[in-house]
Amino acid sequence: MNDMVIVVRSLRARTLASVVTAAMVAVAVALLLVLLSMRTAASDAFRRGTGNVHLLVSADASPLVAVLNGLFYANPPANPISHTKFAEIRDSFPWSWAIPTQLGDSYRGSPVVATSPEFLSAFEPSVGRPFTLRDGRAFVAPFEVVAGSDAARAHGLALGSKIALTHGAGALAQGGHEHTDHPYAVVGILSPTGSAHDRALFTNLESSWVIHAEERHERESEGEHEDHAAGESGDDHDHRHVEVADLTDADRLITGILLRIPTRPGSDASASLATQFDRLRRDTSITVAQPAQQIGRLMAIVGDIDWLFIAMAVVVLLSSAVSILLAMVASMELRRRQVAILRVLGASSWRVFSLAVTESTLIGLVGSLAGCAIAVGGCALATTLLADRIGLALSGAIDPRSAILVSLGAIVLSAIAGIVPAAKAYSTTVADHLRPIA
Amino acid sequence: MHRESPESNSSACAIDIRGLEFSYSRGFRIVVKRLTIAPEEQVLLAGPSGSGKSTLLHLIAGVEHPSKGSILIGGTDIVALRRGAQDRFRGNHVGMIFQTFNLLHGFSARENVEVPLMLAGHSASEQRQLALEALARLSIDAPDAPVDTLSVGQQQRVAVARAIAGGKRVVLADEPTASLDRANAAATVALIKEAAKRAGAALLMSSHDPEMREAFDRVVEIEEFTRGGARP
Repeated sequence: MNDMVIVVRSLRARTLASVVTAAMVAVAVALLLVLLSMRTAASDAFRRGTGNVHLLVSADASPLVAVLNGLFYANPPANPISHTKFAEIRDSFPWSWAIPTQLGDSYRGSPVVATSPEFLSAFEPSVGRPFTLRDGRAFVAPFEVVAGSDAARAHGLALGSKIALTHGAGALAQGGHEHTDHPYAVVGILSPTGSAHDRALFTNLESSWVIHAEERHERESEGEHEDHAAGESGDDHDHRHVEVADLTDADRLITGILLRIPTRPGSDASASLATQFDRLRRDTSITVAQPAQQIGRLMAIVGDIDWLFIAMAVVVLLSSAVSILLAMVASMELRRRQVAILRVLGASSWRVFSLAVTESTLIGLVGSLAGCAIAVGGCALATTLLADRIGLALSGAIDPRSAILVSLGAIVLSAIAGIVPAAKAYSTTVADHLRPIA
Repeated sequence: MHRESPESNSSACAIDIRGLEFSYSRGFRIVVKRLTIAPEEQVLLAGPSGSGKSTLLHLIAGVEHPSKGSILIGGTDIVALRRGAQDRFRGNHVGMIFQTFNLLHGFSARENVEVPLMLAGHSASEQRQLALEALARLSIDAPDAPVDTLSVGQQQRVAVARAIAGGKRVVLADEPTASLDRANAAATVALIKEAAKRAGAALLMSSHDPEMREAFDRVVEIEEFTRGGARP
């Protein structure tokens, strides 16, 4: 016989109440851990995706917009950059790589990135983790497309699927124009990267330029025959076939340039970054952004939301501490007689006080352990659901430090919640509770 | 384990009460000028229900606290002890038996007997040995059965075993026969007397039943100590 046996017997004598109280702690701990984990996972997901790009050049209005549009596909960039400008920037410095991108087309709402093959080989969506193909190969010839993992799943794309892209990011009903004359063949499907790139499709620049050149010719011919336009349907155009060789500088438009400065092996930083950033910024026709810095600023702006998350979780934890307190106080009312018996058998007031606090602490400990287990399962579930529903890839791992801190917090709160009933036990007037129950 | 009082000068008595005064807020008083009980002596504390018998037993056990006087048990003045030491002393030297047994529910018979031994500071192996001895002496052959599964008679014997285990100096029995019929009451008193005698403990048992007087050599009337006061 020892104090722990008394505590365990006492808890077992009220199995239902003990289990319900521990379950309340478990739910609060699990909720807090999931909230904390989702909070860091969401910002991690944002920090991924800029990958190993050092500088992003676009013609957007601001650097943040450039990053959100260029690397997170928030909206199609409004203004183009000429390929001549790209060549000029590319040749102005011995970049590790310079990758042109053109955004604006979409497939059923998923953004299409027209780019050079280096996008899939040299650019890494997370530093040190390049794109890998789950199926097939990278695009080589015009009108070949590689689908990001979420895009492939969302639209049921498989190798060999033929798809027609839409000009504009929205659905057809929102004013997009479908390029039905040039079906693209799916030649590859990427593995998930946990970034916005999973939602996109990738093709080469020439195909995009050819389609837009043909459209430009159509518009010009429509302009010439506008007197005859009445009654014609939108798709009934007078087509003129364009080859890659026919493209002019006016057709060779891009919307962004991803740049990387050479670094030493194993390092992602370079002293030249600031110099090159400042040099490019002098060109007022373009916007230059350091993506990592812009995302850092964005996170600083939305950082206050973190506090909302944490405050919610703390309120949940406190409310469960109050529940423990009420459950313990209620049980102590029922156990006054047991406390009186222990006292008459030789237990000091302090001993019954410590037994009651140990009891509530034990409830907190069991609840915390169960909560950690639930949180691990819950995060796995939330990760799957978020990936399935909105394509947001979160790591979903519970940070062990958070788990330890939250569990300790819950145990301390449970112990504190045990103090009120313990004080009642301490002050129990023994004689009154030993008399026969009437 | 416990602090002996420096005033120990009456170790020949199991219980020696001197100049004791206790008052309830409603004006009811217990005044004991002197009451001694010799080691192994068996005394009946007689008086009608609600006359203060339980209060006097609680005072001797140290769960009620007098305003004046001393209560020496085996020479130790429990009134002079600090509360914690008083609790340990009670666990070591005073066994109590109640009308309703007051067993710990959810605990086995052996664990019920072990609790006061544990609280008195006995090691786990001592607790086990002393508890099993006491239970065997009272013919409990299933010491690990939960007390809730035992018959009323067996529960009563567990309560008696708990009161005597570990070599108690004093056993206080508070109306242990109040809810029993005549035959059972007589058997219970015989059981308690026999157990206390074999344990070498003095017995002070309270009862409102005049029939009980015959079973004891010495009877103390509670009214001797409460004369002139209102009842609690």
